[in-house]
Amino acid sequence: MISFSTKVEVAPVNVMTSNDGGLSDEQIAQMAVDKIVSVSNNAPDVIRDQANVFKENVKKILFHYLILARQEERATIVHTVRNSGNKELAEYIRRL
Amino acid sequence: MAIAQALCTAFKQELMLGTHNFATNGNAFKLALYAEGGGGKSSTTATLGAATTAYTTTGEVANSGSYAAGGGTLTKVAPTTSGTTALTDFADISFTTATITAMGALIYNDTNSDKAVCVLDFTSNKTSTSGTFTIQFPTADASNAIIRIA
Repeated sequence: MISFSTKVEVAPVNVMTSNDGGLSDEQIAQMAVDKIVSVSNNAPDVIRDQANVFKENVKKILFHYLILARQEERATIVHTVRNSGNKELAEYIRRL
Repeated sequence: MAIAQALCTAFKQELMLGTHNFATNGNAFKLALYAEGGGGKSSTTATLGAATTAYTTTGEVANSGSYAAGGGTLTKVAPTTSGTTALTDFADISFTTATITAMGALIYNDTNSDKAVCVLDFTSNKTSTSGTFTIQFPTADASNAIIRIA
């Protein structure tokens, strides 16, 4: 008799939620870093610790550039809205 | 437990019958959110697990923001292999401006009679209030991908 053993598996997911608006920069940075760096549960402690330190560093960099991206996008929106004659709205968006 | 993480048993059989096509131009798959016990917005309680065979409205969360009955359509990533493991993946999905409390989700084949694929157990109630409810799928590799055949 010939038989084969195989496993069909489903993995757990992350859920991120927010109140009164969209996800924060920190949540998005966390989601990104979770995709970039994953550490096996079976990895030796030393490797897992090192990977987690690396993960935190990557998260800090992502967080910084996410804030920058939001600021730059907002600046472009403010510029466009101001040029269309809506100065009050442009100022409101600038202060967000 | 009313919602238990599982790859549905019927789905495993249907894989052998060629019912599900995960190719990017294949079947459409959707993700629906479910409440458990008193934590949900729905008045009914979901019972989902390995024995689930198809999408059900029982226990599904109420419509809110961009969430409507039946849930959202998933963007597929074409199945691939890594070593001796075959895997498939989906892009993260978000429901915005939504007030939702969900304990789990069901992925199902919207093209083929809403046949169930897998049940996702969030392990605790997740809540968004007039906000964003995002489900992030794991890294698509041989150890972590959402659906793997090893």
